Amino acid sequence: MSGAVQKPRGRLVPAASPSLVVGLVVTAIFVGMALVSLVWTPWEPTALNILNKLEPPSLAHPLGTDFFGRDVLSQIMAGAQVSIVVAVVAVLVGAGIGVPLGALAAARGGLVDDVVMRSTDLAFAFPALLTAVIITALAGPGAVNAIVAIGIFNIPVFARLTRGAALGLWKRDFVLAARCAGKSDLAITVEHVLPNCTAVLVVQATIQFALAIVAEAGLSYVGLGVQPPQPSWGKMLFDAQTYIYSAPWLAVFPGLAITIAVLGLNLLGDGLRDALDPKVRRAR
Amino acid sequence: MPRYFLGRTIALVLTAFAASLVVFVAMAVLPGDPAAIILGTGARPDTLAALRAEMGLDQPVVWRYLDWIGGFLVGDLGTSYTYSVPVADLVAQRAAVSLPLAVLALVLSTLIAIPVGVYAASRRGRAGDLATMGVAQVGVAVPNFWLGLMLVVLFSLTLGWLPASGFPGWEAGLLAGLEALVLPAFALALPQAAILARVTRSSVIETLGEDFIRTARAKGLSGEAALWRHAVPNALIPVVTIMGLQFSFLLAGTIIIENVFTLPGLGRLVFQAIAQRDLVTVQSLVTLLAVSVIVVNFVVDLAYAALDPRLSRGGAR
Repeated sequence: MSGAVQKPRGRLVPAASPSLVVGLVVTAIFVGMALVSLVWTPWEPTALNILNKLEPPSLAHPLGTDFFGRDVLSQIMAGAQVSIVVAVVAVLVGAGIGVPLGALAAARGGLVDDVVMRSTDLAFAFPALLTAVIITALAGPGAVNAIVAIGIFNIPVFARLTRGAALGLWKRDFVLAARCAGKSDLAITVEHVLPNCTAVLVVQATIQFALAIVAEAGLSYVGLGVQPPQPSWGKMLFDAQTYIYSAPWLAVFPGLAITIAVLGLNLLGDGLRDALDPKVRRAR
Repeated sequence: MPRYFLGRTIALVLTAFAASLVVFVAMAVLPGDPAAIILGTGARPDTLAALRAEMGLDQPVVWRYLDWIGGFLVGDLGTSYTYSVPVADLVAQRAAVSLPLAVLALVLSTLIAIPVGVYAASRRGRAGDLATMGVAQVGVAVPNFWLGLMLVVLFSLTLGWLPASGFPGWEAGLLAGLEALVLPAFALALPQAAILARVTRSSVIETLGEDFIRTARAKGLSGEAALWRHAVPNALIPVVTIMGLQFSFLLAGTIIIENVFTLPGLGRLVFQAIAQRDLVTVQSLVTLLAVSVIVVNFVVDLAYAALDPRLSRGGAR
């Protein structure tokens, strides 16, 4: 398809900013860790070894062991799987529903636009995490419900963003040209409008991905995320709290893992935004 | 301005009603009969029917909504299934913990973020800017419940300065109450402060590029005076909006933080009510929280319009 995708003005390949590089590296490590854990972890993440319980970090167990003698490093590696799967699917659900809604609102305008926009207003009235907690608590804990609860709040975010970006594009000459050529609204949206929204959507997706990781950890922390024995960072933090007097390091590492993963994704988002939008780059 | 105000007020009322409807419908379609849950599995059918009648569950669904929302409007949030006390009393009791916590967190985050953001903007591109914004970048990424745990390790377990968890109640004195809220408030405030500091910085930088700043400098004002007298007041307008949004975050944040610090606030009430399928309490509480978010956003909108008259003259939206 010969979609009129606008090339970024200025340099075709933007200079990689430090945040883009660091963000890419950290995110790659985070994803790589989860992939490696599928085939190899230093110890079996769920293997109990009561004799070695609550060991401080050592050569054999670089991040120590928990109350059941499970290796913390192995659990953090395996916990990355849950974070990634829940967050990615939640963002895909949000974008999968939100982007078409936003595109529809921009293409149709009028009543459709009003209904979509007022619905997003309504959704923003419910504090996301609170509502996610209530949904999972009522529907029952577990990965699928966590995905739904987090995904719902990604819908209005993507709907608004897509609508805003698409509205500007509908006024552009190349869309007018496509219209004159007799293309339908749907064809224009798919061929011309959405491809030009990709940049903002990708940037937002990285940010929502980071937020979803924190939300998943929060849900697991209060016992509403994935269920044991599947390791998850939030659950590890909850368990660590019980032994915070005798083994405070247990609470340090899972939180550090969340922070570093989120930091990496945020940097990646910032870096992508700077690289994809020359205007923002100058304003900074 | 009056037209803008009227338009916003109508939008406020409609959104609030829509929110209450969403919550009501969500609760109504949930599987499980509250009366059966209260009485347990061995209940006799006639007892069950009597309780259902007493709770109004035998009424048509539209009537139940009107009955509930009518009471809600005059401050009657229903009667808790499990505690058999008015939900309003439960909420008031718990709000005495959550509200001061959220307000304290908002105040702390503002007090930290605005000076840091203005400082970073004034040192744009230099070491001070890079250092503070580097810290802020990390701060944004820290989950508040983990920060809470780390603060406990540092200030309660290691230094022994502050209590690790629990709440003595305001009866124990203002100081004892505040002591219990300091760590959770900081845990909530610091990540929010990081976001707010970044917003403040970019807003101040943007304002510093405006013509009126050049005019102020041209008439002989020092850089410092132009910054504080002209740039900062104008730059704070978008910051106010973010603070309004943060209120929603803080409300949601308390639900997890209260679990970290075992504080008897609204967050804990939500958990207890859900665990006991005390649906009236959940329904009224969630609606109340949603309405308070809507009202705060409304106030922010008005403050925004008052600070920037261009908005209200542009027509109500």
